[in-house]
Amino acid sequence: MPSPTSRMRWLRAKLYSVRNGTGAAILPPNISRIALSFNYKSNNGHMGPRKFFRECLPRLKYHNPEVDMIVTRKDALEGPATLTIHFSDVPVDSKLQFKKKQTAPVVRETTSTIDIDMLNRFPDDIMDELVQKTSATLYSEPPRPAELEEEAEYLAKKRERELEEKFKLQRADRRKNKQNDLEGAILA
Amino acid sequence: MASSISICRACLTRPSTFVAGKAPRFLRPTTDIYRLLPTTSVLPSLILTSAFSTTPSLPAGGGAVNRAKLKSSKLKQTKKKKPKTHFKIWNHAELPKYALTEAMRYIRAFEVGKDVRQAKYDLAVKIYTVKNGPAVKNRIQLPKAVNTDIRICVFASGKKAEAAKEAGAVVVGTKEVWEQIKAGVINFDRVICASDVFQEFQKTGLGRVLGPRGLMPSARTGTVVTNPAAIISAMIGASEYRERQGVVRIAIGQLGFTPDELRDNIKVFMDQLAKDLARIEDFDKRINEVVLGSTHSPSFSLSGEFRNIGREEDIEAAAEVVEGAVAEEAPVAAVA
Repeated sequence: MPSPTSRMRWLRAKLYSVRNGTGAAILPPNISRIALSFNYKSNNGHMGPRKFFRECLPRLKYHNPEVDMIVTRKDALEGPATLTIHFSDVPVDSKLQFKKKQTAPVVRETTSTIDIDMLNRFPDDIMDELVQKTSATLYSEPPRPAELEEEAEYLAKKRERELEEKFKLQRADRRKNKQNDLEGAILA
Repeated sequence: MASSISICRACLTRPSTFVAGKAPRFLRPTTDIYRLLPTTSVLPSLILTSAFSTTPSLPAGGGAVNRAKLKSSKLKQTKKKKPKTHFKIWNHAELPKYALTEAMRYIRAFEVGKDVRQAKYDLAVKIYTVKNGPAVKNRIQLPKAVNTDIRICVFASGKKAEAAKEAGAVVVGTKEVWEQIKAGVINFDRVICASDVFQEFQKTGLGRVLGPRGLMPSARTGTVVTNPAAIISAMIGASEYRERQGVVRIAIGQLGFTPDELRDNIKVFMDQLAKDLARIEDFDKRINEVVLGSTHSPSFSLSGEFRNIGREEDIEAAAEVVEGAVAEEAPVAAVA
């Protein structure tokens, strides 16, 4: 297992990127499921859907843990790439769900669906349409408190100073090595 | 004088050097390098002396540097590294930890679009332990089984074979099964052998086929038994775990499990692991860290809580905290 410090630094960045960016939106409670369908290969305009799946869908899932997200991919080289939004009547109360111990997952019946065509489009573009059609609210990280901001600034400056010192030493070392080499050459 | 000292021809032709009445300039073959050197009084004399000795002595400055180097290298030689007896552990008391539901939420986000049955939650337990001591190895029956589709083969005949088939074995038989295995048809993950057929089985020499796959039944691993049907049910839902490099890893649940199911699994596993560790008497073994990961996601150090305490929405439900995990997870900061 790598050391916890290195693990945490890496993890912090990773988690920040799953919370923020395109795709970080909170869907209204009447959406029960989002289904993607596209090809494995990116030929014929299937690159955008794949990027959407890789980049935006984890963020969407993080902010909407109750919504099912199903991805079906085909081996074909051509064909449609669609995103289907399933609406249902019963908005699930998340608080209630935590309290009750459920034995079987509740299957919510879909009342209506909306399709978004993802062919030949960029992920941002697809996300815009999704937000527009579902009237979702975009998520933005609350700003950091002032103390943390100050600390970050201090740390950045400290790091800069340390680097400068390091480079200075390196330069001096290089000069010294050169001189030593010359002296050695004479004696040889 | 001219015969003993080499004089540059250019100097001889150039009248100015003689006109001035000065001694002719000596030109050494190392002129170019000499010009580049810093003007120190030590070096020229040294160069002259070195010309007469067969083993050139080092200049003063260089010698000092070399002596220092020698000193340090000698120190290194004398100061041998202590061999590490324990696997390295870290003090992670100040690093962020995650409640179970929080970690699960992140993991579900990273695993989005993956098959819910194939992707597994994966628990890694870091242990403070000696490198060459006994290792933990055991089998556990989790409250909700992770691998439900294990195919079991039973070598038995007569009544035992029928009983095994009822218990859930996929392939049952003796000679016809062995012939199939020889032909290369192996469609099972575990093998159990009834003790009365075992001698007959050993004569077939199937160890070459089954051995490399880890399927060979033996009494030591508990797969040669008098009544195969009895252990089949235990085997189907069981998962094995062992300590490697000071870490115990186990698949603790499928991705589709609810937080409650996963919590129960973790609790049972941690309880059993604590007992396993306590059973090894002569060696000090302690749990250092518990980390939850999954097939495609990063791992999260668990805090032992079920849900983050302090959030307004969760205060009501926060009463049920995983006590077991908290107790086991007491950080071993003192050791680090």
